[in-house]
Amino acid sequence: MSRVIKSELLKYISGKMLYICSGILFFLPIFNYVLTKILIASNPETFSQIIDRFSNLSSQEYILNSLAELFSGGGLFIIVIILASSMITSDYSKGTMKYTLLATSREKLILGKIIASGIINFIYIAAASLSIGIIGIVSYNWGSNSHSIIYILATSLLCWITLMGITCLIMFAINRISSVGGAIGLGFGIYFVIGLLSGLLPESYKVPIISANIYKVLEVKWSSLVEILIVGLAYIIVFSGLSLLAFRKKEILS
Amino acid sequence: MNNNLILRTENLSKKFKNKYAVKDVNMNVQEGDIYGFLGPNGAGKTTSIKMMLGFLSSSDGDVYINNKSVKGNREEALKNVGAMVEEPKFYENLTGRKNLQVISELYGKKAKSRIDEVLDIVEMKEAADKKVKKYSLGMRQRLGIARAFLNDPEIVILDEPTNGLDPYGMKSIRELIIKLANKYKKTFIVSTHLLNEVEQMCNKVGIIHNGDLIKEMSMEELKEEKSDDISFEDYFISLTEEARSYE
Repeated sequence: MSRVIKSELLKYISGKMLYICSGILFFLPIFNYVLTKILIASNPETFSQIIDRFSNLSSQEYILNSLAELFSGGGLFIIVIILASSMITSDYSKGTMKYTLLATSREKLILGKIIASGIINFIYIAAASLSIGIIGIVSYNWGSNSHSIIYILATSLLCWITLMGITCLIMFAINRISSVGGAIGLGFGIYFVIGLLSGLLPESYKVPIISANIYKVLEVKWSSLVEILIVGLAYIIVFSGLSLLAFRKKEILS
Repeated sequence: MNNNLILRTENLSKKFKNKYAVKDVNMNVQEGDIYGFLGPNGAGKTTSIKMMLGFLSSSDGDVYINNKSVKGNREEALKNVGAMVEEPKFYENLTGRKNLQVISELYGKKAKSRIDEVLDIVEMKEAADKKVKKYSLGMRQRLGIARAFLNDPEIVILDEPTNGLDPYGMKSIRELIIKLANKYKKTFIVSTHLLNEVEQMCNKVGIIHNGDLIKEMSMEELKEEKSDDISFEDYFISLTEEARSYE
């Protein structure tokens, strides 16, 4: 399976997509920060509430807030949806799937693609976390909470696991679709439904909906992180298993 | 069973909804053959090839490569097989060499070390570092054959390798296949709808029509069976008409 992972990663390293998306995710928090500062400086009276909020933030609070906002802002989701949707369908629509399948089994191919997308998602989260971390440390005072560094690292890891859960869900959902456009459309549809359910359902029913509870990281409670971790892992296990079963029976027509 | 039989199909069938695209095909390919898999468009050549390679599951029957069942153990059966199915497709934004690297990663060290060698074999070394989107169809076909050769296969399956090429391109691909078969002692299955291609290149032919393998014989046998006063084309038409009359 390591061969499939290497081959998949080679495709992404050789292309531009990985660098462009990592760059966007690195500069997005910087852009947000600079834009907020400019707006506040240009009209302090209008933004007095934001000024109060920002001036009272600690580094760790800024980092946790920004990581949670990455999920709600949509930028990260758009990139992950495109990655998850194109990982399988682009090979299928380009007609290159046949040549990959000549050299490996279907099981290894699908698991290899899931792991490779996990590695790419990790790079995305790392790029975003890096710039958020730099802004947090440079611009704000570090808080007093003694477990904050471990908690922040655990939050970044949870963001990654949550994204992997979403990736596996999308990969399963699109397995019958052979066009990249259709797959991305369905990916956005799933994102929309998740967002809708997150907004409409009462708090106690939101637990099984992936990414709906990501704001709980702001409670700075380990029990909340465990809850998010369990939901993320459940999505990864269930949907990668279902993808495996579906792909084993798929007829490679083109 | 003949020990030299490198690929055989047993009652290979594929049904789409209620219609058979391929029905009870029994092919026998021996080591060293250049086997022409001849039939008009829509006869079932590509469907048969896709079943040989495990891309499509057969409705009935099986394919055996080196006596290993594709249905039972696909990975093991296809270990020594290279192929180019339908048009040669690549990652357009990558160079020819990078495309081969992506596939060679899947095969392992030996394939990685063969990239320059296979590019040399198909005379594509000079164009290897250009992006595939800039390649002509002939160059793509050559790169497709290079990709099929990466794992140093015993048997190479090519689906209409000269399709869409001009006469010069067709001739050069034909010559390449003959050179590879003779120099590297590889077995080839070449599907085509062109009679002259089979005549010039192959030592054995299987004729498929409406999903049935209506004839399988050596080219010598075919020449003996066909009377001298009719062309290969007329003979082929008479065979397919005969098959049609039985339907």
